[in-house]
Amino acid sequence: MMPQARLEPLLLVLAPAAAALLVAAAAIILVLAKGSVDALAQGGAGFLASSEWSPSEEERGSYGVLAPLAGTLVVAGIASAIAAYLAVAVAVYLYEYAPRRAREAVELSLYSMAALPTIVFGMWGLSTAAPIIRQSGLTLLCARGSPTGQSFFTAGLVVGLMIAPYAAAIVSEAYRAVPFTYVEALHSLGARGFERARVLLGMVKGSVLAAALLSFGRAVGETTVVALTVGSAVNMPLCPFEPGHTVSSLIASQFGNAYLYPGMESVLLTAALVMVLGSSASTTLGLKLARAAVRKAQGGEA
Amino acid sequence: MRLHELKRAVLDKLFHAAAASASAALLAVSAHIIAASVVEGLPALLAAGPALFVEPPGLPGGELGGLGPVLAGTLVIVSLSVLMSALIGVPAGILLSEYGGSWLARSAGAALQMISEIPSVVVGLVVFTLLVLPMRTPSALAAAVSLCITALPYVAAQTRESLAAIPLTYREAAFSLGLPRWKAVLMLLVPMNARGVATAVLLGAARSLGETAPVLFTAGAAFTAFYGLTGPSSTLSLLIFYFAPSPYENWRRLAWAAVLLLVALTAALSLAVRRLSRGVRM
Repeated sequence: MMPQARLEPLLLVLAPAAAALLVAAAAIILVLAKGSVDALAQGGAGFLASSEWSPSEEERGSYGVLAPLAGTLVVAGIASAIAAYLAVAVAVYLYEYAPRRAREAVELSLYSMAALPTIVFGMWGLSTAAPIIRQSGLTLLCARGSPTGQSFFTAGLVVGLMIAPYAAAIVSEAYRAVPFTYVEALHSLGARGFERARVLLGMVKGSVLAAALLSFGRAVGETTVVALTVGSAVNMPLCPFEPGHTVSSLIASQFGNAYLYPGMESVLLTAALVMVLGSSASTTLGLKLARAAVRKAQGGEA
Repeated sequence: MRLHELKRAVLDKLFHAAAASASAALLAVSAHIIAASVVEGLPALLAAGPALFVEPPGLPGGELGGLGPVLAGTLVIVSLSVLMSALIGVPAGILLSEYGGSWLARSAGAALQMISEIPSVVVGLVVFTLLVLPMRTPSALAAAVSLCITALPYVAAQTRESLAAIPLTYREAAFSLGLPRWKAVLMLLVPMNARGVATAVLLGAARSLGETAPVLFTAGAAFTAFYGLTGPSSTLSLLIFYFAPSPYENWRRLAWAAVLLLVALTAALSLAVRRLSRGVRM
């Protein structure tokens, strides 16, 4: 409802912008929905549960996306575990242990990492992280270990490092929101750093879960970094050091030529819709938890 | 008792070590990324010389060449995207902040929330389906539209936040003078907040410059020449995506040169954002 009955002239100027946003949002929904309907109409929902990927230009090939869907879960899971761990460790270090100089250096590095374009992390993953994984011998643990070092784990590691600053910001915000009297009380009891951290982290544990969920949501949709580091093979993620695909990296490598293969485009759009739903659910829940965690910390409830 | 104290001391040291090493790891990674882009990128930049800004990339495995057409594409695509995202995002931010209760603002807010949660590669897919297919060619225009959609939530959110940060007293003063709301917004709140709006536009620029996934299928990866607004084009980040994994030495060196340029441009933009957002006068 408009606050006043009078028509605001400014609203006439602002309305086209709002309309453009609504059109963009509707276009996204419509394109994904149409692709999904096409895919379901052509071959049922079997492709979501099949891991057979054999494109064909003449007839309808098999486009099972189970492996990339599972790969997305694994890569995003690894990334969000790494990001959440780093976030907690960094928050504890900054607020309980770090001397001023170290604190400033860490904060500067978090700021600059958050500002770097993702493609730069992709380049770094390809030129530094993948060779390290290859030389570490970890790939030998898997039956079909990656010969290049590009694997589910490599992608999860680079994405986890990349989104760690965001996760750290969420945990830090809740940590800072704990009333100072609690911190004071802990100090006056003679609590050491780890004891203070344990009590305070207990008070903000919702924010850690929120950071993990938001990281997961971001990692699910991450494309270029993953495409450069995951190894690009349709492969079930049974061992983390094997090359694979996620939905986004599969789209990045296949969608450009998908029109050559009947049926592939709609399958990729359906996989994209599944990815969007997963990412949105995780992000929405994470945002809710993050806000609740800050409120709870401010209230000082354990 | 003694044992208990010892245990506490040891546990504390372990916690300290774990927390410090995680922070050190992040510090090391960010330092290494920046160092690597300088160490690998600077020689390529110097080797190419001024030709870097003019010449197209060399043939696979041949001469180094330059990034001329890619820089032209980047300039056109990013400027267009910034322009569009400012034209839509700033009014949307004003709408959200000043008319927050209206149904128009609420539906625009919901649309923005949805767009911000969509992975950027999906934006590329949608623009591909709706713009590239009907035009029968990827284009600078389609790339700019994709980037604009990805940047929009940032521009709108920053505009809204900066307007919302203006103290209530200024609004009260304006309304008590009998100014209608639109006059208060246009003549007082937006000019007072020029820095906030500039920050929003710069954030949009940083976003447009850095994103790769939205232009994967929309720009067209035309690295050798610039074909105008409706022809295939490319951006720096797209060149990195294609050249980084290539087996050709000269292409990988160009990718590093592009990485260094991107890092430098992003650093400049984020410094500007920091400067602008620090000195807000109220």
